[in-house]
Amino acid sequence: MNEYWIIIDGVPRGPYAAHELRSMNLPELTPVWREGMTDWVYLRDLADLNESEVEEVVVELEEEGTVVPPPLPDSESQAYDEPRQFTDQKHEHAGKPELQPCDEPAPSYLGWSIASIVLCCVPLGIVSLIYSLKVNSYNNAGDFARARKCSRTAELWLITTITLGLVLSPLVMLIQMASALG
Amino acid sequence: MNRKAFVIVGIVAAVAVAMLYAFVDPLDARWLPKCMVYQLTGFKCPGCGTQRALHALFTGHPADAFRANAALVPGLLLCVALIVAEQFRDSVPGVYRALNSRTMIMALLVVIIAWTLFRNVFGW
Repeated sequence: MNEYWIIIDGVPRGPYAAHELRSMNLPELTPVWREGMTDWVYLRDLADLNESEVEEVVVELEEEGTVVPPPLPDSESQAYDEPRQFTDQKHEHAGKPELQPCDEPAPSYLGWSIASIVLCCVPLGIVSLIYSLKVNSYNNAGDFARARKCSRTAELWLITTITLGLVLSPLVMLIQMASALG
Repeated sequence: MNRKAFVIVGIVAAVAVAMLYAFVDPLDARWLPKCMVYQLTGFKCPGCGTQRALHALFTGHPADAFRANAALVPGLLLCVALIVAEQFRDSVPGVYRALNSRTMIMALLVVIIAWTLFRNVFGW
């Protein structure tokens, strides 16, 4: 039987059994950890209770022989409120190559989103602004893999917006010139 | 394209655009593109008036720039700040974090939506 630790308001609690966690009605962004996991995950990503790919990652790491960190509740307790510390903690045990793409905060492209909203005349930039927000939340929670995913989506919307702006503007110019001549 | 080339192309493009709008008045020039959203829907987008505002700005009439699009100047300044902060993220992480904080992004979303509604209702 697995025992779980959770962080509520920056305070670690536990251990709990899976059925206890389920009956506690915790918010889905509660950090959870159990022995064998390399890091805290969100409750909603915990495959023991739900279905998710995060557990597969954990299993892979265990097969690779990653050193399992000791129960973290004490050291992580303040870290969860302080995004930067949480980030640093993450860096400490992110030496594995397969963690490389996810071990640093993802860019939020906030500046580009605003620029595209004001300059491109295509209101799609607002979508990438919303994804910037998601990147920011995941970065703060230390979930860089998800942050990166949202960051790519934001990037995609940005590219779409800017491309549309660049393609459509000359088109509008042509139409305007044609109608001015005719 | 590597980063240096990207920066150079960006600066050249920015200077070219500045020159264009310094010498051409979009109200006189029929060939400059009008806002597609406005043409299609009749509603103003948050960026409507950008060209007039740039022209006013580069010919030394900041008040006219504000009248054409109140969001342009603050928006552009913020963009510059954000892009600079991103370049110096490693050495000065505090500035980047403050500018990219959740509160900041939420506030921006609200401001942009409010600005769009306001200008369409009150005809800015």
